[in-house]
Amino acid sequence: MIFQPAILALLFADLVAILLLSWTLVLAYRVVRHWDLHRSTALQVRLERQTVLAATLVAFACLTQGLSLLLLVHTADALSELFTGAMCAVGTLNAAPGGFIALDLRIGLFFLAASWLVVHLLDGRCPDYPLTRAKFGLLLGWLPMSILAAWWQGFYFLGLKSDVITSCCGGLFDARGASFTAELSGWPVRPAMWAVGISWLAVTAAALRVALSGNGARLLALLAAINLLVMEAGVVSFVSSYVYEHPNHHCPFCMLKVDYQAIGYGIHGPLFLATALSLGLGLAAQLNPTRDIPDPARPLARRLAHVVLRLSGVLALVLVWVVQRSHLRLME
Amino acid sequence: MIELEGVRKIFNEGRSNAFAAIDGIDLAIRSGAVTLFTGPSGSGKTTLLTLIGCLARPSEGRIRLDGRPVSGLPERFLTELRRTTFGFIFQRFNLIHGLSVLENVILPAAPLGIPRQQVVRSALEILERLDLTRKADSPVAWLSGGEAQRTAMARALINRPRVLIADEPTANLDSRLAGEFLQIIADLRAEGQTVLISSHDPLVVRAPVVERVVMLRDGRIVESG
Amino acid sequence: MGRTGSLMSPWIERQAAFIDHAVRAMGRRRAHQIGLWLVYTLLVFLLASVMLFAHALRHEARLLLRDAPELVVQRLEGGRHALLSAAHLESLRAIRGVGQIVPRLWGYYYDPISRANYTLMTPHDDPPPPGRMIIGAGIARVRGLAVGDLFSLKGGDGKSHALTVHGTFSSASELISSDLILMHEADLRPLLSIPEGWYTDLALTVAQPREVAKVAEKVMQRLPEARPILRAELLRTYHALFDWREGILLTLLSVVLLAFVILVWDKASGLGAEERREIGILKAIGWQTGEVLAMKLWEGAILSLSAFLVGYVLAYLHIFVAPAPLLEAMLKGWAVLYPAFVLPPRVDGVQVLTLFFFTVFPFIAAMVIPAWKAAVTDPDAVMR
Repeated sequence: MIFQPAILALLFADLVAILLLSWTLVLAYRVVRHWDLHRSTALQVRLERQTVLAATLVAFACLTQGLSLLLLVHTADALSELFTGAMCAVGTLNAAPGGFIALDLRIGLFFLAASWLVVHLLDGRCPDYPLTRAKFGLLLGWLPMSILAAWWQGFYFLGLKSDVITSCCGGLFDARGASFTAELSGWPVRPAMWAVGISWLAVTAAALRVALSGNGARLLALLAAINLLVMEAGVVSFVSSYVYEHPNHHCPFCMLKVDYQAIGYGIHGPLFLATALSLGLGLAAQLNPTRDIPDPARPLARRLAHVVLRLSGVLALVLVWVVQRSHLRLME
Repeated sequence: MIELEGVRKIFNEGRSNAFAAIDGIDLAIRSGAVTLFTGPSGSGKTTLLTLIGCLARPSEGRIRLDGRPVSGLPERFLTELRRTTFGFIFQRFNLIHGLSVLENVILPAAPLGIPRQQVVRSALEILERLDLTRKADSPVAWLSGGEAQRTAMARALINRPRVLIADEPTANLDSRLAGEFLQIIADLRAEGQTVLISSHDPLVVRAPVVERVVMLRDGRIVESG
Repeated sequence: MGRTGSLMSPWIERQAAFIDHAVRAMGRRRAHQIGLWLVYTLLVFLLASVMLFAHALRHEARLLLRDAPELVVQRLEGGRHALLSAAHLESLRAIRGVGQIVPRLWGYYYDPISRANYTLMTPHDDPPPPGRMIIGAGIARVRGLAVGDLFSLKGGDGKSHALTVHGTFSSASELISSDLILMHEADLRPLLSIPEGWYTDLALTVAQPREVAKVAEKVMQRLPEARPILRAELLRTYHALFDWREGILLTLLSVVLLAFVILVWDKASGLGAEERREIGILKAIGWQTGEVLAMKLWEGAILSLSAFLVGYVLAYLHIFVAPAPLLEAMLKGWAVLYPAFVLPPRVDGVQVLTLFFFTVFPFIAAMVIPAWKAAVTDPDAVMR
C-alpha cells in the first residue's frame, strides 16, 4: 500500500459514506414497511420527519460519491509518476489488480447517487409522495454497492506498490491491439463522428421534449445511457486524437492533465452531469405507477431537462472547439 | 371558510395514558369575522387552534380550508400551506432574544424566498401601522409588554395571512394594553381580516369586536353563538 | 434565462435568509462557538502544514533530480561502497546506448567542531581553482565563514589543508547544498584519500530513456560488483519516503481528527435551553424541519469553511513564509545541518480536495444528525 494522503482521504470518505448509509438503511426498511400517508398516526409523522434526515444524509453521501470519483481520477493521474511505465491514470490503475473495476464501480455509484437525488427532489414536490417507498427501497440496493465499491477500492490501494512496472495507455488504447479498447481506438473517424452526432441529436431532442411537455423521461434516460457509451467511444476514437494532435494517441485519461488544459474534465463533466440528470428523470418516471413523471413534479422535471439541454450545449461547444483548434486533420 | 368534521385529537395514542384533548368537533368558521374560543383551562381551546392552524394534524376527522381537505397533508405541505395562510400570536409572544424587532418580524418570511428588501419594506409598513417604527432596530429584550405584543403581531402579519390566530393574547397584558390590542383587532377586522382568538379573559369575551363565541369543555363544544 | 431566473432566485433568496439567520445565531452564541472554531482552525493548520510541506518537498526533489544523470554506477566491495578505477570506466564504454561517462569525485567529511558531516565534491564542469572552495549556506552559518576566510580541513593524510572560501551557494537550493563543499580535484583527493586514477562513482548518460533499464542490466554483466542506480528509482524513493512520512503524520493526526469529530457531535447534541426555544419558535412560525436543518448546516458550513480558510492560510504562511519551524525536523531530517530555507509555494487541487475530505467532511457529517434532532421539534410545542 502506498501511504498517500489522497488515498487515505478516499478510504476515509468511503467509510463515512457507508456509515451514513447504514444509518439510513434502518429507516429505509421501516419506510418500506410502514409508510402510509393516509394515516396520521404518531408513527407516520415520525417517519415523515425521519425521511427529512435520511434524505439529507443520502444527499451528503451523494455529494461524497461525486467528490470521490473526482478525487480517485485525479489521484490516479497524480500518482502515475510513481510507476515505471505510467504516464497517466491508466498506468496507475493498471499497477495493481482491481484498479479499473474500482473506477467503474465509482462511476456506477456516481450515477446511482445522482439519479437518486433527482428522484428525491421530484418526490419532494408531490403532496402524496408517490416515489417515497420506491426511493427508499432503492437505498436497500445502494448500500451493498457502496460496500462493494469501497472494498474493491481498498483492495486495489492495498495492492499498489511503487516498484511495479506497469503498462500505460499506449498499450490499452492501441489501434493495432486485439482488445475491446483497441477496437474502439481503431474505429474509423467518419462513422464515429456520425454516431456521436446522431447520438447527441437524439438525446438533445428527447431532453427538449421533456423540457417542453414533461413527457418522455424514460426515453430520455435510455437515450442518455446509450449516448454515454457512444460519447466515450467517440472520445477514444477521434476526440482524443484531436486533443493530442496525434493520430495514434487515443487515451481518454491523458486529457485530464493540465498539459492539455485538463480538457478531459470539460468533456466528461457536462457529459456525466447531463447523463446523471437524464437517468434520474427516467428513474423517477419508471418508479411512478403511471410510468411518467408525477404531475406536481413536472415543472421541476422540465427545469431539470432544461439543465440537461444546457449541459448538452456546453458539451457540443467543447467538442467543436477541440476539433476546430486542433492542428490535426483526420479528414481531408 | 374553515370546516371541521368529526375532528378528534388524541395524545399518547395507543398507550395507557391516552386521552382525547379534542373529542369530536364539527364546526364551520366564516371568513372575515372574529371568532373567540373560550372555556376553562384544559378544555382544548389551544389544541383546537393548533389543529385549525395546521400546526398539528388531527388524529381523526377532516379539516377543510376553502373546501380543500388539509388534514391528510404531509407535514411538509401542511407547513407550506400554514405559513402563507395563518399568522400566529402566541401567549408568551415567543420573540427571539438577541434579534431586533425588525429581524424578528421578517423571520417567518425567510423560507418563502422573497427578496429581502421587499420583505423589509412590508415589515416597516406593518411596524408603522402598529406604531413601532422607532423601535425597529431595538433588541426585543428592551421592549415593554405592549411593544412585545405588537411586535409579535407584526410578525404574525408579515406573510399577509388570511387568518390571524391569537392564543391567550391578553394573558400577560394589563387592562389598558388589552384594550389597545382589541382596538388593533377591530381595525384588522374592519379590513376584512379573519381572526381566531382563544381566551378566557372576560375583557376579551365581552369585547364588542368578537362576533362569535365558541365555548369548549373537555374537548367538546358546549355552546356556539 | 428568464426561466432559470425564476427557479434560482427564490432558492438563493431562501438560502441567503437562512445564512443571515445562521450568522446572527452564531453571533449570539459566540462564546459557545469560539473554542470549537479555534480547535478546528488548529487542526486544519496542522494537517495543511504537513501536506503543503510534503508536497513542496516532493516537488523540490523532482526539480533536483531533473538534472541528475539517468544512471549512476557504484562499485561494491564487501557489500559497501568502494572506489572505481579508470579501468572500470573503460570497460563500460563499449556498452551500446551509453552516451557519456563522467567519473565523479565526492565523499563525506566529519567536522568535529560543528559535529556534522559535510559532503565534499569536485564538480566535473567548472570546479573552483585549487586552494579555494565554495561552501553551502549551512556550513557558512555554523562556522561563521564569509568569502575570503580561510577554513582548515584535516585530511586523510593527517595534515591540515587550509582552503579559502571562494563563494557560498544561494539559499534557494539549500535543501541539498546546505552541507556541501565544492573544491578542486587536487584538494579533494588528499582530503578524502582517493588515489589518482580512482573515482567515487560514474555518471552515465543514456540517449534513449527507454533503454536505461537495459543499459543497467548490461553494466551488471560487465561489472558484476557494480551497483547501478537509476534516476527514476531515486525519484520514486524520494516520493515514497515523503509520502510515507506524510502518511504517518496524517494517520496520527487522524486520531486527533476523530477526537474532534466526537467533540463536534457532543457540542451539536448539547443544545442550550435558549437554542431549543428558538428552534421551537422557528418551527411554530412556519419553518420546515428541512429548513431548520438547512440553517443549522449553514452554521456548520460557515464555521468549518472559515476555520478551513484561516487554518489553510496560516499553514501556507507557516510553510512558505516562515521556514516551517514546526515540521522540518519531522519531515526532512536526514542532514545534521538543517537547511533554513523557504520553499517555493506549491498548492494543488488534489491537495485542497483531500484536506477538505479530511476536515470539512467529517465535521458536517458529525453535525447532521444532532442538527436534525433539534429540527424535528413539534411546531405546536410553543403553544403547550
